Amino acid sequence: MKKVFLMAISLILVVAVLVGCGQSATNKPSESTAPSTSSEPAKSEEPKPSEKPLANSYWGDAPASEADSAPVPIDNLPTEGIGIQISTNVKANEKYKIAIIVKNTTNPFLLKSIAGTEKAAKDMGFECISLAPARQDSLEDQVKIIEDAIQQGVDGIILHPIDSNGIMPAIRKAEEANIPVACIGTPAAKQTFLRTGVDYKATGLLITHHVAEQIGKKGKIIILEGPPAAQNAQERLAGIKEALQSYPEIEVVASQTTNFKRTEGMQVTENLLQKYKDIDAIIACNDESALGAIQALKAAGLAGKVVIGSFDGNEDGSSAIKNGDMHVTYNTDPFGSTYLAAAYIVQYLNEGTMPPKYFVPFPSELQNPLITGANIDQYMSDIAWWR
Amino acid sequence: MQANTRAKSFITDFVRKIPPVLWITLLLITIFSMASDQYLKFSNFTNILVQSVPLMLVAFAQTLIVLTQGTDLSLGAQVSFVTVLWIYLTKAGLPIYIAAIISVVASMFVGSINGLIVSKGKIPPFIATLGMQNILNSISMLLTAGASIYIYHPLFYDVTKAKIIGIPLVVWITAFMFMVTWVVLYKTKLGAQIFGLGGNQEALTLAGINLVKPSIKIYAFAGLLTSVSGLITTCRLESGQPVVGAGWEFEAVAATLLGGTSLREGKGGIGGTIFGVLLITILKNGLNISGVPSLYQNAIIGLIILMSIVIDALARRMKSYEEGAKL
Repeated sequence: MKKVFLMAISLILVVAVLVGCGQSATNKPSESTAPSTSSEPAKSEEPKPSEKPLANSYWGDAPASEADSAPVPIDNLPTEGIGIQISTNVKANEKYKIAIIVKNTTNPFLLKSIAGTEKAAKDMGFECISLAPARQDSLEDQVKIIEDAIQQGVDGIILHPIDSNGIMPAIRKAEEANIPVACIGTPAAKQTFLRTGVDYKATGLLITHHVAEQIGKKGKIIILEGPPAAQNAQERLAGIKEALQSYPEIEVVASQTTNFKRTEGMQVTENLLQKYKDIDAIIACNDESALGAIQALKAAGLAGKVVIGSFDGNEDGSSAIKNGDMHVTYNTDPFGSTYLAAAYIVQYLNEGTMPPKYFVPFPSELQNPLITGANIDQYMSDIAWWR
Repeated sequence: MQANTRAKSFITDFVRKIPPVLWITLLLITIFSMASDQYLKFSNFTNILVQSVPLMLVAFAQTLIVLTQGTDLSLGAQVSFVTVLWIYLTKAGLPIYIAAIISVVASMFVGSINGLIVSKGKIPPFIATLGMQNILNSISMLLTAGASIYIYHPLFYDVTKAKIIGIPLVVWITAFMFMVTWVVLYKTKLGAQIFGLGGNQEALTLAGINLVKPSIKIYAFAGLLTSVSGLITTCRLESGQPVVGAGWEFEAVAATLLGGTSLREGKGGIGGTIFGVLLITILKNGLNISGVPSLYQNAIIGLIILMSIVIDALARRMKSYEEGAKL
């Protein structure tokens, strides 16, 4: 019995210490809000903006796919700059609790989303809570997390939805509790408070036009597609195909999926190079698959002879641009996107100000998101979101 | 003096009768309610109950299989399969209730095939159900082309919103399924056979009892429980998700073990499983609410499950040792 007792005691200690660690993060704001109790009476006189009825034109039932995706002029954004340079004048009136909920904690893109929110929390003065499913990419867990965040009484949610339709019931619950939900990346099926992050179709258009210019608007190209079922991959591919319509002399000799993976990008390119030896360009739907393609080209002795366009601007992708292996990529900036989303949420919680429209693409073509050999040094030293 | 010792032994007996999983759960609730003032609220109480429902039903099914000394690895895949099949058939134009019934029957059919392979083919349940898991995952993927499928129907929302005496409908459904399972386990011949299969299969065979039929029935009943979990999950997510159940079978095993059911002796029961599932759900919910970063959460969950099982096992060993000493 003694042993069991000892085990139990140690268990209590472990749990208490671990929860204590988590709690210390949540406790800080309550300490720092303590001085603000003097302003309590003023607060109770006028209702908090988040208690006001919501602007239903945004939180309506309109499908996300019907949203206007025109970029918002830079001057109208509440933030300045992109990547780690991003900054803002927005300050939180109170110590709001804003949750950043991602899909998993292995993808660098998502980790930098969390980092972006943490920076925003520091700059604007709110409390950031980062949550991710215990089981990677589990929609069911993500739904539970949102339910728990509502219970916890968060003021706003920044979300990377795992599934557009499946996440809707959870988002509806948050909206019923008057919590604004900003989606990044793949949007929820219906329009919410805000969608930001890149407009995937626009990224496809921009990169394809750039690559087409590079190869003199004619020649043979290969497209390495993303996962066929992934919505962002489909939108990006649609952009690529739309751009190619304006270049009748460019022939797409092959368009195959590499599931956003480096190994598959390499295998598929190896196989295609057996058949097509005289290609002029490869457009890969993300940096990882492009890096695989570069490996295959190097093995075939074609390195440097093929123009490669890609998306993300991640660490290895940036190095490839610096080495001259890759020609252009798109800075998809998860760091800045979440920062912007946080700024809009804080503005809303402060004064009830809604974003200018539901979909605010970021970084849009107005922010020079293309990374090429010409600006790679500046990108790597000042902007890169992965730093 | 004697009365004193008697009272003392009464208290220690009482304390010992409470399964360890229960007081570990209570302990967690205490810690979490100190960590967050949002924790001890009725809305969070129903939140935890609702969140535990899908795993609860799968864990009931797993408990039955574990009692027969098996492990069903296809349960999670069955959940995904049911969510996909229900939406798929409804999308194909069948009335939503008919589609639900077909999905339930399909899941029971899958279960009965598991039972047939295990008993007739004498294949270890671990292997047989692993094969079935792969087959079901593949079918779900084929039906949906890898993505989730979606259809709008008010039924989904109504099911998750409905409440009876303040408790959500899905919790009542689970309570009902628990009662059905309890009756099957303790009041029917099939229940006796479940414990028999776990206790001494050879004795049953020697007694001339055919093991094929009960095995099929047990696995089919597990399929029924799993399909209800699948239907409720569909309502919660309003869509068919081809991978939603991945890994649930292992969480269900963990909950079963936490509940005091043994992997080897065919000992245990379904009541403890409830607390096993609640422990896991309360742990996840509490970690989220008290704002523990998700990078630490899995480690904490694993650690606590492991320690709970070790404490449980030690307590049991101690108990049997003391009982042995008394004799």
